[in-house]
Amino acid sequence: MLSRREFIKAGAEKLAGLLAFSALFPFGKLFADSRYPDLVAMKGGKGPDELFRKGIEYLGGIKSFVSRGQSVLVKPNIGWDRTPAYGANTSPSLVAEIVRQCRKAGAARVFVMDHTCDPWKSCYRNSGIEDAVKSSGGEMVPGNSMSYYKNVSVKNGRSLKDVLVHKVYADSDVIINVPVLKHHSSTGMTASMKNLMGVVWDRYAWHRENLHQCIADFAGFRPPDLTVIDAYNVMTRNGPRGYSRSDSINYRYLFISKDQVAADSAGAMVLSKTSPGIKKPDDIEYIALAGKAGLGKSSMKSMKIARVSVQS
Amino acid sequence: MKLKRFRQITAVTVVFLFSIIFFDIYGLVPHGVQRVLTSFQFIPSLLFTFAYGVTLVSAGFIVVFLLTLLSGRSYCSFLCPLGIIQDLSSRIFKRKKYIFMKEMRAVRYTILAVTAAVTAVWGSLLLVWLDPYSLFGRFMGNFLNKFILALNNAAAEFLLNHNIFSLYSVNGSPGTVFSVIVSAVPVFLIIIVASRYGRLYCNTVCPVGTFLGIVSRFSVVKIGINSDTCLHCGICDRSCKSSCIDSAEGLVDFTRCVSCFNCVSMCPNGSISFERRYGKAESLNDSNRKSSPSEKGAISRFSFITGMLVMPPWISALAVENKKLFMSDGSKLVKFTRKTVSSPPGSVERDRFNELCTSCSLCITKCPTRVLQPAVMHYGMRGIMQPYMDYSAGYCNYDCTLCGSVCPTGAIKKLSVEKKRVTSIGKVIFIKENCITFQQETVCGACSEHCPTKAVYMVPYKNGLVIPATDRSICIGCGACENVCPVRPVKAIHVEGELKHTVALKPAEKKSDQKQGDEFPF
Ligand code: SF4
Ligand code: SF4
Ligand code: SF4
Repeated sequence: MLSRREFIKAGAEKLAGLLAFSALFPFGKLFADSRYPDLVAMKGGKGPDELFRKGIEYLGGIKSFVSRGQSVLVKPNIGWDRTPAYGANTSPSLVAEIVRQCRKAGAARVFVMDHTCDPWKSCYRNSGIEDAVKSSGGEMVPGNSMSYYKNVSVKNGRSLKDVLVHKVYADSDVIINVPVLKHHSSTGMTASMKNLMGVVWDRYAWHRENLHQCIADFAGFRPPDLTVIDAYNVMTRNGPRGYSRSDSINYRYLFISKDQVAADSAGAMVLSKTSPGIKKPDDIEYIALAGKAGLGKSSMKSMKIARVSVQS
Repeated sequence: MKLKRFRQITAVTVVFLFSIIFFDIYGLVPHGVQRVLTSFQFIPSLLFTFAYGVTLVSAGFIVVFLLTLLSGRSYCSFLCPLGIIQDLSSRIFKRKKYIFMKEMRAVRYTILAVTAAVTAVWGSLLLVWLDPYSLFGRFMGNFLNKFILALNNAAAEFLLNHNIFSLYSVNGSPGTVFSVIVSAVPVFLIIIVASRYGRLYCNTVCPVGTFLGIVSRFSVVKIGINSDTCLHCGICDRSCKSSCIDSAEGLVDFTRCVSCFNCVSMCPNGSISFERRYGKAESLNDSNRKSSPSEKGAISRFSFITGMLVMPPWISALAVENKKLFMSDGSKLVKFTRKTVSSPPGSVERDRFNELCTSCSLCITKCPTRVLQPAVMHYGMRGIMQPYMDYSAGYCNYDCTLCGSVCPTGAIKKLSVEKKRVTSIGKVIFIKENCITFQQETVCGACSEHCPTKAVYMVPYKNGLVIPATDRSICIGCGACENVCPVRPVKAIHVEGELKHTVALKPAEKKSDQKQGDEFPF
């Protein structure tokens, strides 16, 4: 006969075993993969925030990404000291909506940061993102000092073997990448994978060491759990900074995906309308490289796409 | 007693406000505060008036002038930050009492005359070294400010390790050895002298002091000794930090009196007072008294403190992050020498700028991108410590007009954002042979990414690659391209400064091809 103490101990062991078992076989995720589309393509609506609110439901709602007590990094593009109308940075309303939903889902802390190109204080302020984040319960994290970064090695990196990455990127439980889709003078386009250049310390080192390969390498380091591309107001020339407001087109799209390569591929197709050099996603070299490395789908045909049009 | 309190409170407030604007590393103080505060500085306000004629800023030096006519060199005791820190120094470190000293007349007036003559011909050449506000500014901006930076960054890092992001690191160069020495040493010397001899510097070297001294001969209200009641006890002599009271003779040298009112509060029977005495230009020129030999203690104590203060941030600066070089030997790179550095936007023309700037370092302290750095010989002898555009430190932010908004002498003109965006301070030069795309046939384009005018744009190169090309007519010389170009040790793109700033052409704006409501392109 088991004493009471032994009984409890045995029970605990069984429970631990059960937990380990379910961790090995994440049934939930298995079902999720077949139930959910690879890409949610949204269009119309009153703004990107509304498109996100409706679109995220096709992936099971924010709850399937964020659970109570977790720390979340929401990573928009805040690279430039420009007001929202130029489309150089992610729309503040979209960032605010995502931060709010994460908090509602119980996230303990929601961080927002970018290692900007222009002076970071001006970027945070004039992009409208700082105010939007603070009023929706998130925290703006600076990225301007090397002491915020830690050295990590990039497994399977071909050009990029190790890199100084921001601590909140390395340490947060959940990462949500929220780039803005733009034409880009050197890489052709920027959206998801290229937006992650904003979480490393020395982006210019990548320029020296085969930029496309570095972008693809880093995409495999710690892929974001969710990618939301703001393609509402798309800068189709003079990117990534843009010169005038006429550089952007009001497409009113938003792409949501767990697969950053799939999301970028959708972005490439949007730019293909205005960039003669882009016919298919693989024409952007880093998309092709990431696809080859098995980081995601870069062929539109192989994706299960939910196309949703919202009345405006 | 009341007068002295009033002076002390005003003086401490002034120094406090100046500290706030020079230590404001987060950029929180509104620019108006700086404008108002610096407007009341005599030399900057005067130079501003030379540059732009009578404006609101001129009120500053006019007020100081009128104030002197009314009540003597009140500027020196109430408003001049360099004067006030001397008073603080003598208050803290003074051991012995003061004694009456002879006026060093020849020295004072020669310095004033030479400064005036040189300023008339060459502008700020000597004022850079003699204007009290600018000496003080450099000390604060290029020296003490760095401690605030270091302190803040240490605190920010500590909090960061506890995941608290309320403070943040502020990027800023610790300055060069040269800029630190040139900014710190003169003021330390002045402080050391003050700790022993009170306002000796103000009454011997400072041209503003000498000038206001002449004016104060005619002031309405002055210090004076009532010879009927004076006991000739000498208490006032010993309390006078200007060493300008000779109670034995019952005389006060107004040209050196800084209206501090210490004597008034010290006199045991009220024989010394501050009242209307217009017309009587009493002055003391001769005295047989000698000053006592100097005391070593204070000085060595000071040099020790100086040493302690100078060391830490600059030692750590030596251990700067070592940047990876693009090429192990730079021999394949085409070297270039910049003929002209760029001066800040709004400085209009090199000569004009060099003549108006007194190197107070306020703009350098405020520049959000740190592109403004103190010059060594970049402008030649006359521009030492004046701000120049150091594109290795940063680049000029397209929409920023800050340096012009804070410059107290008008050397950097205030520009509207619209004007700033077309003010060309230099022109781009692309050296194809150094470019990464040429050297190793991979894509880069960092320059074009950052260029706010698209004066650098990408054109097709081989194998589907793109390489920069430039349109100098729309380039404004902001230096973004040069700053970010990752080629080391010689960059592939750089900016050659313009001696006379020009108006750049506006980039052509193409009509947008609006395509709304399209179906998804996949
Ligand atoms: S305008 Fe340029 S140089 Fe002047 S403060 Fe701003 S960024 Fe610095
Ligand atoms: S070419 Fe260089 S210096 Fe000229 S505007 Fe562009 S980034 Fe500035
Ligand atoms: S930043 Fe330098 S290396 Fe890169 S494309 Fe421009 S000129 Fe070439």
